[in-house]
Amino acid sequence: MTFFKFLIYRIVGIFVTVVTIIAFLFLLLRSIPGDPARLLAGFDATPEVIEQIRMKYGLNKPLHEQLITYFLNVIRLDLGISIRTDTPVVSEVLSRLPNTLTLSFASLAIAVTIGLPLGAIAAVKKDSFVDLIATALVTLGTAIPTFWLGLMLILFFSVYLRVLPAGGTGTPTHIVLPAVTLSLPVMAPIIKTSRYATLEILSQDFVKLAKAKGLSNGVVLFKHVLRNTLIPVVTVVGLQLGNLMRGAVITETVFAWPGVGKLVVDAIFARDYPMVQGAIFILALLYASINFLVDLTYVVIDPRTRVGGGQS
Amino acid sequence: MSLLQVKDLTASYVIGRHKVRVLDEVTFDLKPSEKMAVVGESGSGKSSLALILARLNNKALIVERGEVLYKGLNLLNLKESELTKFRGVDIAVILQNPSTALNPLYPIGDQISEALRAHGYSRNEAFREALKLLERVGLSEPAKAYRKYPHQLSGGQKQRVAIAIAIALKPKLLIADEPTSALDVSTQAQIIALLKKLVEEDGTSMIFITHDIGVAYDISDKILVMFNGNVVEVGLTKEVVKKPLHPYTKHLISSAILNPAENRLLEVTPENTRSNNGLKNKLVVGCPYVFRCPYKVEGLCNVSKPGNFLIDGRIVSCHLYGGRK
Amino acid sequence: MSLIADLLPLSNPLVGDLSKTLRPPEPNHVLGTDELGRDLLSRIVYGTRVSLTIAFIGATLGCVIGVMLGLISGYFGGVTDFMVMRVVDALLSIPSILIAIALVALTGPGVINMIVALAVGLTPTYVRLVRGVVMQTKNLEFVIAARLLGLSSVRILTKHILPNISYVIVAQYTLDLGVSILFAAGLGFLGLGVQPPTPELGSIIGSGKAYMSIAPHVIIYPGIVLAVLVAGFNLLGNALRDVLDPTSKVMYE
Repeated sequence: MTFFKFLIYRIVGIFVTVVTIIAFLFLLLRSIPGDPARLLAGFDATPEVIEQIRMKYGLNKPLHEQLITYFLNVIRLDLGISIRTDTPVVSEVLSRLPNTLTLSFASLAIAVTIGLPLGAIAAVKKDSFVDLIATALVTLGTAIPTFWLGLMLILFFSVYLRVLPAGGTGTPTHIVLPAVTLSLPVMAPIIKTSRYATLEILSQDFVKLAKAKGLSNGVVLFKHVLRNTLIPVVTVVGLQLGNLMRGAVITETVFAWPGVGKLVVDAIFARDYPMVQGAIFILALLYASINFLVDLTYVVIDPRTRVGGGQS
Repeated sequence: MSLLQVKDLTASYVIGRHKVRVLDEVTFDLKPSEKMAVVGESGSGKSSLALILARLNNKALIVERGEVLYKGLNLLNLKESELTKFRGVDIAVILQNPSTALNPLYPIGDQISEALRAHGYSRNEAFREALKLLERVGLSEPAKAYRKYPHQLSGGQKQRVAIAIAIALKPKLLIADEPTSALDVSTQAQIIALLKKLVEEDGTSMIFITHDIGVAYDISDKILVMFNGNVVEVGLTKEVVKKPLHPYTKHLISSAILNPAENRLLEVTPENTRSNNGLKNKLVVGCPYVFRCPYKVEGLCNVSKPGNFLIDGRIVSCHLYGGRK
Repeated sequence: MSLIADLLPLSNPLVGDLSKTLRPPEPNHVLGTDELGRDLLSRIVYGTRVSLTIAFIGATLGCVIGVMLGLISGYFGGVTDFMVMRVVDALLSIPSILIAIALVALTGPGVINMIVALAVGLTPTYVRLVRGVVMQTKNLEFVIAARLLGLSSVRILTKHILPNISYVIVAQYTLDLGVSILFAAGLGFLGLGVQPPTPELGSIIGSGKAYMSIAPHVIIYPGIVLAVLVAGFNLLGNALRDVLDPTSKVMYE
């Protein structure tokens, strides 16, 4: 498949995803037993308010018309008005988005910069102390609940040692604990994959040949092994995005980090439906876009996805 | 004077508590510019030999005894870091499968020039030399080929690139581990002709591993026949093929003439594989070939291992030529 | 051990002594008490049972639905396959946490929502897994032979195809139990899962969080239990995959 075809394919894919999400959110809203206007207005709303909401959201119109209106609104990025704050949902969610992005990318960066080399070293020095640490981190990282890890870190670094803030934002130190917390569950599969892939690649003929050319050990590892390891690691990062998002929602709540995840949890408790809906929409969109970015990195790393018309 | 002397080389695969002997006191020597073919079926230890000579054997393949003397220097005693200055310059290798021997992520030109760069060439010199090499191995439009990735080339083209890498620094010794067995028949002939031409031009010594005695006949001056980790016969190619002495060599040559396909069939026959693995321990006692030998003498071949006998300038390891030892 | 919780000499996990709140571990209460004076050990034991039950039901539903859809999709192909795979793609395009949040937001927090979200989130893996194998297997000779003998589709699927892939499913299922426990605990922690006073490991930690600087034991112990449970399922799942998968390779070369 040529790069151009691949690009088109992925963009269409994102478009389909977005349409699916919109339809999903709409149908979910309509599949609830009872009157959606009542839900939107809140359980203790007066009949007048409910009627007003019904008019405002066009809930008195036929279903397919509502779906079309809903689609058009979403495309115009009109995700409704927050019940709790009476501000447009879009601006609220977008103002929180940078925080979520910062946290997610910081964690991902930690996970990759530690996980990739650690897995690779563990493979090169199989059964060594480093390998043991790597295996331990994999076991812990996949088993320890994110929220609990967060709380334990707070307990140790904020309550006991008092060296790092327990929550909120402001200084650069504020991001340390949440980013570390969120990185562990993502790091574990990265270490595992990096280790396994490196083991595989080390036994490959092209590594033998690279050695036979008289290249130094370092060049063999960095140029020939590591870049090949990167391919399955990128795949795993892609697969971990859902995990990352779940972690983000939880981590933001634990550390009172003002991102979209915390927003959505707060909105649920406040029964702020437009806000929940809007936040889910933006998060899903984010998920699809990052997936797309992940696919693009393949193209950078692996020439086989880049150049078409090859043999064998 | 010998370029390479191998003495009593004995090696085993060690997997957990299991140990399988793959080379048993392999001894031979190789003169400068000499082309030697190592012939044997799969499991005979010929590929393990190639890997050990290039010191590319993985951790499970352990050398137990013996020496590999390159210009008098034992390669087995060198550290990995000391090996880098020999590799490419003195000893180069060509691996069996060209599809896995090239890194899929880099243009082939880079993979040639990096060998040159590792041994003192500047970026520009390496680039120019790589283009010449691409031309020498018969790839058209070298400048264009330089930028191609392995997946854009055919198997034969990839093997040409691998040859270019191997001869880049005009090594003294080239170890080719079944370089054509992954290719189709018509490509095989071309690659063999190319390889022969190049090593003769450069005066390179070559150890050519193959299971195909026909190929060995085409390319080599000298032949070394291996069976089950043992060298059973060594001699000049023409003489060995004209008048094989060891029963196994006879079998190889007769089957190659009567039925060229049988050599290859031998490799996959489950019975052979079983005899190679299951009976290994018994074989230490008697002749390695005793279970398949039509000339075996009970009470001799199955009890004692034959020594190496010098017959007409040839080394043969068989009781037929030495009597009781 | 949690299975026989009722038989153990534990105090009622729902009844607390308000004069003894947030006590550290002591002889009467081996792991101490929580913010309402309830015995922590008892809450953890019962909580583990709740966590396990949710994970078990969620993972089983996901597995059964996924395997069935995968079999149908792979065996019949064509339009059926197309439809099933589009639904699977759609589900995969939305992280299951968002599905869970959407469900909880609209119908209120609770166990049922969590189980549904879990099942929905886990289904696609099995569909893809099973569909792939079925598509490979269905044209093998023994399956064709079975078809020629006039066996019904259902019988061919369950007797001849399913056993071939059972090991992958068993391993995946075991790993999913661990994932499910974490997922349920995460929602419980956020207050979107099991509702008080029912004990569940995540929600015990969630409600103990406010008191963690004065009574860290309330969050430490349930967390350890969670981690051990999940690690157990993960190790078991990995071991099963290594043992049962005939293609998993032993490093020779």
